[in-house]
Amino acid sequence: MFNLVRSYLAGAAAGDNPWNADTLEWGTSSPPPVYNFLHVPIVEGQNALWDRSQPGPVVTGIRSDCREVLVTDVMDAEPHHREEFPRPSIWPFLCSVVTSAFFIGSIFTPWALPVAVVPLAVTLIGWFWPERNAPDSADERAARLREARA
Amino acid sequence: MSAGRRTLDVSALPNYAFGHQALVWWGSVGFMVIEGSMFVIVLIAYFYLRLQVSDWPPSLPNPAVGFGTANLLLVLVSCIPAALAKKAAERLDLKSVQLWLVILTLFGLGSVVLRAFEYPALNCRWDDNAYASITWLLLSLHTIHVATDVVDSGVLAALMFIGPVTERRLVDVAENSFYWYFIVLWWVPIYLTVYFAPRWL
Repeated sequence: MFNLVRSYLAGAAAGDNPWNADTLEWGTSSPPPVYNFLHVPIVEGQNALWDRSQPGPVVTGIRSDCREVLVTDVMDAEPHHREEFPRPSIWPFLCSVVTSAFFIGSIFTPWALPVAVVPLAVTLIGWFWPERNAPDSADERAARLREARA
Repeated sequence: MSAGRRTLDVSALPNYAFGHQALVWWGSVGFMVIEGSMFVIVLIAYFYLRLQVSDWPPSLPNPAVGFGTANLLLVLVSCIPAALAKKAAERLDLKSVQLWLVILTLFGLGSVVLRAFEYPALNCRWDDNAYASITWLLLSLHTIHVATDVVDSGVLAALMFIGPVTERRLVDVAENSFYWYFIVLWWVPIYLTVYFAPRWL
């Protein structure tokens, strides 16, 4: 505790990666920006930071206007495809409200199950159902599929 | 970006993948592990109860096998539309996906209807004794899975007609068939336990 207080009040601030660690979490600046890494770093050897050439190579081409992440192979971490995660939605919250009501209700009556099934199904389907005009230009791809079908 | 920095541009990579590369495949497998564990636990409970008494079923008639056997045949045949829906999804053939997904949903509905006839054929009430309770639990646990996947297939089929259909939604179709196989496969040991453990053991 003494060390914590003393370090907070006085002494030199630690720079980036003060003990020259080799793992990726030390590869960002200190204090880290909220997004951690502007670009996904590419690991070049067994020791991620020690084996890194300067400047370290990075991944580009991941969209920043939606929640797109890079999916790699399980074994070799070779980039395989890009996966877009859904945008924020009210449905998971509604689903959790129904689930909580179901669990609490089932303490008092077994009828909670048949009563809860319908709103639970509605919230799960609403959660699953894809958005129209999502920023991934879903409509363009839907049109492409329609052409393929024709 | 500083000049000369080496980069790997991934913007040309596809934005979907089928099979074990797809994140939803891992979700399905995780779900199978959880639900499979549930089936195993209930089966263990069934055979534990069996070991506690000399008569099985205790002072109750055997279940009638007709509807259960019909359901086994029905779900085994339903793997054909499931496989065809999966293949159609993998070649992004929306028209075939629509056809086979509707047929798969109808097979699933048929299985749920047959299941309604299986309960009276158990020849016991759920609260008769421990045998009756575990039999009802085993059958109901599987019924919940069948019913859930019928809703899944129905919603996916509706989406295939209403849209927007993207490649990633076709990945969902393939994973739906994958999960249906899991439910069908589990019906084999559960069917044997519910209908033949009282006769053979």
